[in-house]
Amino acid sequence: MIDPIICSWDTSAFLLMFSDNVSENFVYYSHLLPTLSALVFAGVLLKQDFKNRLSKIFSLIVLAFSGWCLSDLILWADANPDHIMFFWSMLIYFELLVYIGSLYFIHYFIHKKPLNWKVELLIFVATIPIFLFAHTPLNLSAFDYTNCLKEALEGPLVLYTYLIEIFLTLGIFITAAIGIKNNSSERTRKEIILVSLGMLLFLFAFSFGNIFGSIDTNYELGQFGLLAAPIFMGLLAYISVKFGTFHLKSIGAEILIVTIILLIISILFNTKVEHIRVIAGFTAFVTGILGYMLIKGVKREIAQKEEIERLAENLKEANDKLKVLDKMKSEFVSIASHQLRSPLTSIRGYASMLSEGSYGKLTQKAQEIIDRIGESAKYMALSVEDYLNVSRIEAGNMKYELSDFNLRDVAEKVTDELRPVALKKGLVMVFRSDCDASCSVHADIGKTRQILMNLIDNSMKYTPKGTITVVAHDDPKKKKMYVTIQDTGVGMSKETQEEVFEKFVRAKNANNVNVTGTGLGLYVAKKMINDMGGSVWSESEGEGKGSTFHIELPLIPGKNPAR
Amino acid sequence: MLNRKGFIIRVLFLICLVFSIVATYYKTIVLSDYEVLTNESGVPDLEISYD
Repeated sequence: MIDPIICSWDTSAFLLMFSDNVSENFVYYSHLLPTLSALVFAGVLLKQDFKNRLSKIFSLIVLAFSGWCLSDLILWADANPDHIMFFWSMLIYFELLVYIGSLYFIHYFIHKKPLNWKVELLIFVATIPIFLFAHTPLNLSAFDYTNCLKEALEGPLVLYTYLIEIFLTLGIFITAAIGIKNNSSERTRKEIILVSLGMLLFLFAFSFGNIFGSIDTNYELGQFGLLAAPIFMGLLAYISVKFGTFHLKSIGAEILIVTIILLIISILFNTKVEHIRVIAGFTAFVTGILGYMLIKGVKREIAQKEEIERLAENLKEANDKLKVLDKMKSEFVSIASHQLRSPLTSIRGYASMLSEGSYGKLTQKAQEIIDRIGESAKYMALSVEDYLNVSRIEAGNMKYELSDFNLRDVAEKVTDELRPVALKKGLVMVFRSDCDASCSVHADIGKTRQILMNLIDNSMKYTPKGTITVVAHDDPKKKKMYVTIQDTGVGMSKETQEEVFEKFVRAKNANNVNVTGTGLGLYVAKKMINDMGGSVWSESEGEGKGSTFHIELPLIPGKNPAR
Repeated sequence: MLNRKGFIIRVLFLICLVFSIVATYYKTIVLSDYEVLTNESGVPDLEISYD
């Protein structure tokens, strides 16, 4: 007959867990702190993402772990042998669930799918003896009343359970090792290593105390093992924040606040001094309020960060789409321009032959019309050439045949070629040379000629009357060669000067002088000259005060190629 | 098919677990059917020793 009075057992345990049988407050600390923090963590997980399977498996582990802790606490506090025998028997169920859940967790975490049914069947078959004999003396052989320690005597089934636990731990280790080996992403491997390591450390600490306690019957060591649970929680909090494992927001802050509050509350258990309890209670209350505000702030910041990331992602997608569209547009322009060029050549050729009288003499009216057709076709051909150049530049297909040549000579020839056109418009065209050195540059002669034609033609278009002066000069000290085209035309405002080399931009007063153009000539000229290592820029003192365009190319010192 | 097998195994596992817990509860709490190890005198040692 068991008599609690002989052993001075307190038989009035509150909730089976609080009684004078627990002499060390550390027992409450080691059992309740991990249980509460684990439950809070699982609660937060489920609240944030209830459908996440990983959260559900983790919650199962937490529940089993909490069940183990509370059962163990009852063993410390309660003095009823029936309760002790029952809750002691319960320990192997909870342990088993913690281990099976852990294997399931790691497997699902790595492979994103449940365990193979054959593995599940193997685990089930291995656990059948536990289900069959847990209530028999094979699990707990007797209640030990030879002393007052309130202990049960464990049978061989407990050792069998430990054997299964060892195999399950091995399974976790192998699953993690395979996951690390088969995963090529460095980030995922790091995540797997951290989660598996945290899990294995937790299981090791948890089991070490139990197994050691079973062998040595010193169950006080197991208390330290339980404290490994918050460490594992902390590790999971770190992983979830760093890698977004559980898609949690602000979990780090929440865990921190809850842990601080639990630590403060633990002072209430550990002190018998009344005013310290009051201070601890007040501190926990204030920490709770401040913590709530902190968590709200962190959540708001995370939401803002996520919004910015989302917008940046959208922007990137839109940018990629635009790039594709831009490329398609360039290809379309290129194809369309090529198709236009051939018929235009025919039109220009036949118009020229008609104009020259190859098909008989024309009336004066017909001659004027044919000349207009020729002019329009020429303008159109130039426009098509501009479009083609733009599409080549943007597609990166512009080819340059670089050679050494005398820029002064090229500029002079271009000026001479265009002088009759200028004279026809009533303009005076002057060429001057002021070269000290060779005037030689290393560039594509055809493209340079085209650029000069564009710039001089541009000046003629925007100059209703007056003079166009082309000057070739060099600066041997700076090793630069320049060609300057100065006109007395409509000039440019500051704003126009800044954007005149951009695509499809024309001077605001262009229509005043009835100038037709695509707004691509200067853009193409700038791109070409830049590609050849030079630069082009414009100057004007304002509208109505004329403009000056400068071309700069690197000078080749000492060389003077044949003119 | 594979998922169904896994599901059946899990359900069986849970049923066995519940039955086993109920059996343990019945044997310990309801029937108090377990052996009590005592000293010959029937009085426990009051000295606590982990040896």
